[in-house]
Amino acid sequence: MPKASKTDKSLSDIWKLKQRGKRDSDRHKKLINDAIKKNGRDLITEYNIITSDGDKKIKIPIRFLDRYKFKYGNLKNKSKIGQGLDVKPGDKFRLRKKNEDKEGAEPGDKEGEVSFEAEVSIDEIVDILLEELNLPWMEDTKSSEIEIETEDLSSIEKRGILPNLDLKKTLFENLKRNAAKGTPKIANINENDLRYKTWEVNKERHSNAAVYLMMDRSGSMSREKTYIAKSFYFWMVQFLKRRYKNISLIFVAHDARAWIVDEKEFFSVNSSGGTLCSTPFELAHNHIQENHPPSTWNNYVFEFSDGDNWGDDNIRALEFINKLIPMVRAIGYGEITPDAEGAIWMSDESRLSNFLEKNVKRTRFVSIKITSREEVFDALKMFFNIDNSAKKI
Amino acid sequence: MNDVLEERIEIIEEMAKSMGLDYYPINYEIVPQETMLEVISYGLPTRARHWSYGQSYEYQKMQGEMGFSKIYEVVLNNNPSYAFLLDTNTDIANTMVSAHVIGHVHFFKNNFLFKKTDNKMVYHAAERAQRIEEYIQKYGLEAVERVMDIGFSLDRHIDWHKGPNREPYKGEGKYFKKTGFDDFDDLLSQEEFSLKEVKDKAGFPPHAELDILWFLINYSRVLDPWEMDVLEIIRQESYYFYPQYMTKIINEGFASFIHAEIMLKLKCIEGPEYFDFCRIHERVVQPGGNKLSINPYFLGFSILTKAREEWDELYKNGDSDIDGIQKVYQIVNDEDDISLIRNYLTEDLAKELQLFSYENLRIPSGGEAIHILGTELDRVKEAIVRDLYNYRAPIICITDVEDGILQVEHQSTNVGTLDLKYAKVVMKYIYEAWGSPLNLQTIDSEGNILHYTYDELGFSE
Repeated sequence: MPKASKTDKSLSDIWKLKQRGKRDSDRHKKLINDAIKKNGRDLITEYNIITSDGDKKIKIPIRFLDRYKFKYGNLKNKSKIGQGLDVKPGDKFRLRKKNEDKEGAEPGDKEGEVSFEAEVSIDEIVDILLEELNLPWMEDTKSSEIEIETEDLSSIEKRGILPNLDLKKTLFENLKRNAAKGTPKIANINENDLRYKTWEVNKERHSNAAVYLMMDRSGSMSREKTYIAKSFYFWMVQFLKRRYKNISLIFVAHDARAWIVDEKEFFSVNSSGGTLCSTPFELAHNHIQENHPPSTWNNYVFEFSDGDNWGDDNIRALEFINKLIPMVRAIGYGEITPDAEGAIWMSDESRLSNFLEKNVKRTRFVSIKITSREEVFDALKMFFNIDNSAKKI
Repeated sequence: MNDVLEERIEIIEEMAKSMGLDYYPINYEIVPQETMLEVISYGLPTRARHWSYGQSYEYQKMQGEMGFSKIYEVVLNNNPSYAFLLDTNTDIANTMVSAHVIGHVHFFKNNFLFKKTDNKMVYHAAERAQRIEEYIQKYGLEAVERVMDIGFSLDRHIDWHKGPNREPYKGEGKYFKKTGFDDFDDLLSQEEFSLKEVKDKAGFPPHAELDILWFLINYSRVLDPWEMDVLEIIRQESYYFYPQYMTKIINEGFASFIHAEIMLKLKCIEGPEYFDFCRIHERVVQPGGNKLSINPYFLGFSILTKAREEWDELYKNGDSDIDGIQKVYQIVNDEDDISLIRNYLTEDLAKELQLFSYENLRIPSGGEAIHILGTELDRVKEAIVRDLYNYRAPIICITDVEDGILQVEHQSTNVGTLDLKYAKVVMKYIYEAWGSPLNLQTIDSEGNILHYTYDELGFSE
């Protein structure tokens, strides 16, 4: 090159940035994951997530990963510049939707700066937040059907990302290479020596599982209560699908009667009608009897309600729960009683949860009360880590 | 680099010199897309690591994958300069890019703002990155990141006129000693008169201080030397980048002007390659599909081309000593974006480009609309330059220190209010670096004066 030859070294030599972008984006990724962990409690009931269809990537605002600077809030002069249109002052144009996501046309007040939103998939969140969850008391049944995916840092590869560098193996390879040249020492490490740990997916075979997700949709289930139940079930479904392949999910809605719905309907049902909490348990009982014999199936039954049930029906619910217990690995009952919406006229005695807790004396019946959105995360951990916590005790 | 390109660059450089272009030697490096993205996200590829570059890197990658932006080149302001060309570009594209790069490097060497920048920055940044790497080893990544976060949160608040290398205020050393400011922890037990003396002796800082990092580095009592160094590194880089921020339109416009000039004269390009050139050139200097924003390449190119025509005409008629191209060089030496727009965007050109100013509207029934505010030259100019001031940051000054409490004032309240959510975090950062409480004065949307405080209990209104 003419002229340029004065400084002969190429810049790449100076900065040696091999995969610097990768390194810093790994670091960035880690900070996002930390943020997700830290904000798990709030994130799990984030409206945008619960209303997404579960497949797509979602954007979650990670506030402290933003680059904070002093910036303008409301600008006095909001005028912007455009070009290439024959227009007169006072003209108004409606924007087509397409323009909204793109540059320039973001609405109004705020400065047109990109504020940071992490784009993560639901699966990633499940992996980060719900990693240790599982279906409790799972047993091998005769026909082994479902697969569980676990990840292990297991094999050592020549290619990989820097954070996964296996230092010991790398030094060993270097030693080996030098020894082959007659100088057995660690020196001049180069790319050929690098060894990386990689993740490997191990497939384990597990038994059939059928999970019944049942939800009260009677008139007393306020918007907030329903939202809490849906949040719980949303994540439950996500993690079950993520962890277990070929799992059978049965969605049940009920008011004074119970019926099977598909997943989409389940998450979009509106509340109305009276309540008979025994009905879903009855339906589950019959459905299991017909379709999922306990000899070949691990069955799980979950019900969410506000516990605002008729006294007589409590007894009937108890009957079916007792019938169900020998047929299932676990029954979970979640009662949603937001503090602010306390039903004062209901005596605590008659609440379904209290009634059941008093009368069902089996360890595999788990009942939990949720009073606010913040508790959904803990409820999930409590339900789906129950056998592990039991083991610890 | 292949022979064709190498040969062409030689021809181009010769041609550039005969046109009177004056630039640093250029090292051309042909790099893959990935490296290109790294260079873009770091701005200065040799600078210290930080997670935020990882964020930009991801963002750039996404943009690239989605086909939003194609990056043709990156060129670093340094002597010698480094130009990165994409290995997947065709020869003709890289030929054009090389000519474009020469325009940029002429700009770096001659523009009045760039003359004040460090033209060995690439090497200095590498040395500094090395120091930061050592701090990371010594103090841990998180501690260093924390200080860098603080630095980056304040890096737009510089005082360009005072420059990056400044002497401390005169006489303020006494100020501290007299009042026992050093023993801030003991303030409560200080004699009454000593406190009074602090207040009476108004005038620290002696003027409203714009360069917040400089102030903290020099006058904070809680920063360790390595922390000061990290903040200073970020501050130096901010001064280095400031001219680039202030000259996007004129710099890109000039580089496009130069590549067009050179390419049209290049004899070795003919036939289908010439059409390819025209196609790429068109893409760079077209208004752009989005009518609601402007393409800086296009605007700058159009203004300079117009100025050239005008001065060629004046020169021909004996009304000017310099011809069109000389005028363009002169503009490039003396102007930044704001003054370019103010001085050289003409009524005719604004009409020709159909520039208009507008504001966004929310339609009550849902959806978005725009409302055209006007097409008069002044209005249009105002709408263009509005975003170009002060790194687009609100003007924030340190106005006073009272009993160790930092008084910070948002001065550009005529432009708008502060985004409180962001201000809170930055206040926390300042608090950490200053080590004592601070007050921030600003306004609300109605123009009422507001005072916020950040102290050991956190933020309060």
